[in-house]
Amino acid sequence: MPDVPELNSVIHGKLRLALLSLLAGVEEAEFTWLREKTGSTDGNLGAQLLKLEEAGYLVVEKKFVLRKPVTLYRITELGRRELAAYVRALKQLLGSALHETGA
Amino acid sequence: MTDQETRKDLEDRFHLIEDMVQQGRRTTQYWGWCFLLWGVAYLAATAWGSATGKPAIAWAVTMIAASVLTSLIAKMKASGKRTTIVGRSVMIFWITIGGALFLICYSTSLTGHAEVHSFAAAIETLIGTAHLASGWLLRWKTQIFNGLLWWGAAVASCLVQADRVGWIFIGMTLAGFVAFGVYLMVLESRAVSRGKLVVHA
Repeated sequence: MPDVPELNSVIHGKLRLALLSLLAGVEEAEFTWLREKTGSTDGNLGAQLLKLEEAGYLVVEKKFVLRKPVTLYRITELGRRELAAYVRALKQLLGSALHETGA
Repeated sequence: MTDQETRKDLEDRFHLIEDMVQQGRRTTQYWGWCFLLWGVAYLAATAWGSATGKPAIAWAVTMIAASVLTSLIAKMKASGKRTTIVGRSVMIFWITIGGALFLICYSTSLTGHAEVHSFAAAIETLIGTAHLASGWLLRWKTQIFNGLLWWGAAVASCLVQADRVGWIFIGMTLAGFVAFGVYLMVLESRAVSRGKLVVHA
């Protein structure tokens, strides 16, 4: 029986997974862009981003552009590595699921 | 953990990752309106210039108006930004090519040293270069083909009689800017209707 890989619980939440994947494809992104792409509410989005930040998977930068506050998010190297490991584990699990169903 | 997780759920997560990474990388198709606007501006300037016989004024007014409109619409459409290296490279390329076009157009029209064949070929080469480079950066065959068409038009402009050069430019503006812009806008509206999703925690 092959080892079943563990999925990282911080990344596993769908919104957190979506956020980390979005940030993996860009250099940095504004809060409003992440909200638009995920269709999430401000409160939920803020809470999930905070969890990712606390895990060290992303960094936040707050600044003023033309006197307007702008919050920018950037994925860290750790976040990128963990997302890659999550994708590998997911692929392995999908492979196992295919074997179990005999597909 | 796989007891409760179905294969479908795992697949959904996999597709979610792919979709989201792709969302961040989309760049040019959201600028369809910009290609359309500049195509219409080129046509308006050409028509105005030939109708009044004062192309320098027609082009100056139209290009400045198009620049102002571009920045206004871009600000209105931006509901939040993200930055990618590819996106920034493409934007910088178009801005520098735009600057080069502006310099060529005004230095030649103000000094009166423009020769119609080489003038049109230079403009078409620059526009083709911008399309080709951004298509190459984005690995997008449609835009690479558009760039090659402009380069072909530049060669054709050197081969035809002077009175045909303007028609080549108008034809290429219609195909390479107006039609290309409309095509991008159709792609964008399809992507928006497909990509309307809400991700729950």
